[in-house]
Amino acid sequence: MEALHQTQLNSFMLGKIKSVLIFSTLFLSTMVLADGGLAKEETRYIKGLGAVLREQPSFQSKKLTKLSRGTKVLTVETKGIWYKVQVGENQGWILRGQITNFPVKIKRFVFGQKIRLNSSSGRRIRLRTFTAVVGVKGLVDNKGEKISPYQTDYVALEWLESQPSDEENSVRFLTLSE
Amino acid sequence: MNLFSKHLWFYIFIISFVFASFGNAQEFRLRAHHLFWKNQEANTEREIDFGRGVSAKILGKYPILRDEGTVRYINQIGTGISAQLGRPELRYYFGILDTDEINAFAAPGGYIFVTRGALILMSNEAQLAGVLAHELAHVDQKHIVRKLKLQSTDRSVTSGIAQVLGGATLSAKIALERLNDLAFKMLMEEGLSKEDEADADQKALEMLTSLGYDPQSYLDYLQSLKPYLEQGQAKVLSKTHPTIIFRYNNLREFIMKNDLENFKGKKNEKRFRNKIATL
Repeated sequence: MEALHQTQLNSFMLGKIKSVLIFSTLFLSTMVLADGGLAKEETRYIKGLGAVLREQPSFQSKKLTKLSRGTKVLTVETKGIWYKVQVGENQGWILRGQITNFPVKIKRFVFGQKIRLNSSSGRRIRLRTFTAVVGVKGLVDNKGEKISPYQTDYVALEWLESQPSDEENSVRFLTLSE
Repeated sequence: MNLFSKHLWFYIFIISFVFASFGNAQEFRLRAHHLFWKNQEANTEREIDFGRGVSAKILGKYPILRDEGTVRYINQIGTGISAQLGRPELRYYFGILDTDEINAFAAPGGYIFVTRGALILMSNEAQLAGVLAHELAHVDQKHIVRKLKLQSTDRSVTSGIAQVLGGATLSAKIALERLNDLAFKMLMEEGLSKEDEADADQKALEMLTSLGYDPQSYLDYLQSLKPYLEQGQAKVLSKTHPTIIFRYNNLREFIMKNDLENFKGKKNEKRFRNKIATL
């Protein structure tokens, strides 16, 4: 009697576990799918000079339209270096190097060293001073030995960093034919 | 009761899982996203610090060329490429090294150098764009950072750099200096892996086609390196890169696979000749 009771309980519990497992899996998968986490279709943005939308994944294929910089596209399929995208009613292929995950207007320069130098957080300044000291004296460790066997030239590096760079003009320069 | 306690961990797991997904999954994801980006930003800063150190050593070995016209030209081509196809969070620098050696270097964080010898060997703008794009790909794919295994216990490269190089103590700075030496040695002696170079070559070709440049020119450039590899002029390059035959075949394969055979792009030969005439 006792043993019978035990097996009944056992199968009952197993059934419970199974159902809980199935339902939670179903629930989670629907949630994830609805959120677009696992879905293949993803929103991307055209970067650079814009991109030519083509009928087929090939340079010989017919050009459908030109997408301008910043256009929102929906990726549908990939093949080699090509992405199939949906833009409005159009569907076509563009090069994968021409799209990015983030809106192109928001260009987040982490760099900004010059700005950071003036900020109240002193960490950046300390690092700069440190590198300058290394450049002049050569880094010396506790025992007074020179750590790095290589020469450094931070003056030349800072000259390079001070060279102006204009992204928009450069991009325009690149598209100009001679 | 015995059975229940046997599977207790399982119930707890399922219940917490379900509750966790109920409890503002969207918010959780958003928070994770912010955390990731904050971390990412710290990492990028460290990567730039790291790259500065490596670049300073490159410039310690080779003098920089201060010919403003030519530097501006290289800068325009490089920035034009990076603005469109590079990592959006970085500012890239393009410098010319005043040496007869034929080579190009990329330090982490966006510092890219090409030698005067390499520029003289090139015959058009597509080749220059190809070489810069190859170096850009090394930065984008963080090849050096990956090879030095600057990764934390969770094995992700992205959260690693800040942990390794983020310290403000002297020992952390010495560690940074040591890593800079390792990276410098990698650029000058050991080189990256064959796969990384093959990857950078393919990415360069992909960038060239995306920008409308002639991809075949880049292959021609690789071929033109051949006679210099045994001589001293490209000794560092031959030591740190796979053979030209390997690189050429790898690119041919890429071209065939992606149907780029008949793609004819621009070369801008005249402009290139005018701009680098002073070298």
